[in-house]
Amino acid sequence: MLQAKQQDGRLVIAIDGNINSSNAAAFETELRELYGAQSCSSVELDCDKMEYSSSAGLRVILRFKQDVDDTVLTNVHQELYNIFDMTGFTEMMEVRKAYRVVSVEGCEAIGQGANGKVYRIDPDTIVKVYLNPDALPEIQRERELARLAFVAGVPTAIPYDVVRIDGGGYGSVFELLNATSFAKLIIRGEKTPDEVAEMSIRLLKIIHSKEVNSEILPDMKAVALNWAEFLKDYLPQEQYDKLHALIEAVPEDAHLMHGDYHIKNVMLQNGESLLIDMDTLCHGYPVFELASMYNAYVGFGLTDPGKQMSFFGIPRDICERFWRRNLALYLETEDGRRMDEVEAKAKIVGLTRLLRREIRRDGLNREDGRKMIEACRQGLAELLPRVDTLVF
Amino acid sequence: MAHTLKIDLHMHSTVSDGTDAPETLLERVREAGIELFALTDHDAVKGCGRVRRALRDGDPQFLNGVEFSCRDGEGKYHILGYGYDAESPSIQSVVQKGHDLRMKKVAARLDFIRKAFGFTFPEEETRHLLALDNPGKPHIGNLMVKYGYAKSKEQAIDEYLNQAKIRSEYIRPEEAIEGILGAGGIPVLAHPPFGSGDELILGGEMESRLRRLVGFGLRGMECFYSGFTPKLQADMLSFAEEYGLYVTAGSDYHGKNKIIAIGNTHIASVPEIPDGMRRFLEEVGFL
Repeated sequence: MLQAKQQDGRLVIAIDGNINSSNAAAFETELRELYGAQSCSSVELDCDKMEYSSSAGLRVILRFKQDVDDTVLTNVHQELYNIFDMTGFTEMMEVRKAYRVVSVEGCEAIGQGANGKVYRIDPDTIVKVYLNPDALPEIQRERELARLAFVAGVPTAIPYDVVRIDGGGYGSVFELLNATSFAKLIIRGEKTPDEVAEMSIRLLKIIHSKEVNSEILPDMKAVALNWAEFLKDYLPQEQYDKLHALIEAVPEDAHLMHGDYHIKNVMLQNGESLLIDMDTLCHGYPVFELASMYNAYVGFGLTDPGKQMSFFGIPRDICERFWRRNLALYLETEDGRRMDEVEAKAKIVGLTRLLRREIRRDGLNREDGRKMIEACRQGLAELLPRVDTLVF
Repeated sequence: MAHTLKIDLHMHSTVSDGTDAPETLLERVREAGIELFALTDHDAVKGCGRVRRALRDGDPQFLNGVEFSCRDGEGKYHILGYGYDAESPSIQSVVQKGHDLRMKKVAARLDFIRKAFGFTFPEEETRHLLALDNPGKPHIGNLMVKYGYAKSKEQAIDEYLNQAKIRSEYIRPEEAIEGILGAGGIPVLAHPPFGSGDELILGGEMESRLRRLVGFGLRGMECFYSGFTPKLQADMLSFAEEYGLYVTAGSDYHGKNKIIAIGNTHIASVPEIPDGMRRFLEEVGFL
């Protein structure tokens, strides 16, 4: 009836089956024997395979908790949770609910973030499935970030539930009524790229207008310096020194940034733009945001003309024009030279990140990787001598 | 200053399904420093006489007790009786009815496992079983293990004995309550939210149950109980207050059969003795 294992210094006992007066005594004896046979002082009773407990079972758990204070109940299904709640167990010990299991098989993938993929599971509900199979801490962090952005006044979808994905891993559930990603609006022809660029930049300016002081937000300048430092052995000394000095000279900035801002991460819901992917939220000077946007629309496709199509579902030339329109709107200018000047600054940071990424992904040992690495090096070699500041 | 009252008004001996003889139980009560106790065997009062005979000067105060298993169309109940006159025909007739019904059930169960599975026992064993004060499924289960029909008592009950659908008559709650009252005793509802031990009765269901039982003459509720969470205890205390009922405390100690310490009632969790308990203690002459 019970399966025990030790995990992270805790004794985890999985209860298989329901408890009633006919087996409560045997359950109690087995539970206490398992506990007595090992040295952990904290116990997790995993109720995943337990649908029901009669009051005889509740008394066994209560007595165990009285003797072993550090006992928690986990994976408790809703019906059983209600029993624990009504009888006051939830007030006297930790009772963790089981996660609902959701299948995304055959569901439309509507978004792609840095650490997960977003599916629509019914017309009003979307689920972000995390790439990391053990993503619970990540999910918790992203929920905090979403709340932080929401409180700061950025229109943000806040996940209302965490679920287990059928087949493995975890997901966050959002309710989004009639929501469509910006990318989909362009693909379906519901909006022109220029219209979407306007909506996109309007929201970006709201994000960038918010000043926040939070320890959980990464400082993008520090992150970018880290990227640059990785390249010490891969760039000529002079270029490396220049790159490092340029990033070092970017002013400290407490304004909010999304960190991975593109048209698959923004939804239109009842006329309102909403951010759905908050795990990259950070703060810093906007050149870092423009760098990630440059990469999304142009950089990732530098050596692979099909990249934008496969990621956004939008051809490369449209993506490149879309980037330039974004830049014009952000800078509030139609002056091509001004746009080129700022693009060069964004590109330096963008190529730095791409180069590091490709090397770390063993690109030096792949044909396509070597092409990308070469393109980034060439870009940096051309840009670094003529750019003296990343500030614009 | 917090109270230091130590009482336990709910425990079982070998006369029903406990593992300590009534005399041994008295020893345990002495060791635990309990000041007032009652022996509450299932449907049986015989153990109380044995405890009384073993009492010495300076021993804790003892109350005659019993726990009747009752049932009617509305559900199952365990009803405790305290301080009754054990010789009174009023309570003896309920005990006798309980015993007769239990014997009928045991005979029906033995008949069922013989016909359904071919399990038979030597006549001597059957006679011994039927001579017990309060035999039930656990006793038959033990016998099945002894004769190799099951690996454990639990398996015997789960896989064989519980297959039988035995139609039986039960002691009705009003019969138990009237029997206890008729013998000058105090009827008290045992572990109210747990019914007969397996159920969970809360909120509105508890309200209607109490209204009916109070209508029959119920006078108290076991509000302090080893198996209660602080919330259940608080809920029961507020029900007792609402219905003007006595408050009692019991562990449901069964000896080695269940891991419940004698005297474990959580009564020390409240700083003052509740009014309903004070009135009960006054009526039984403890205060």
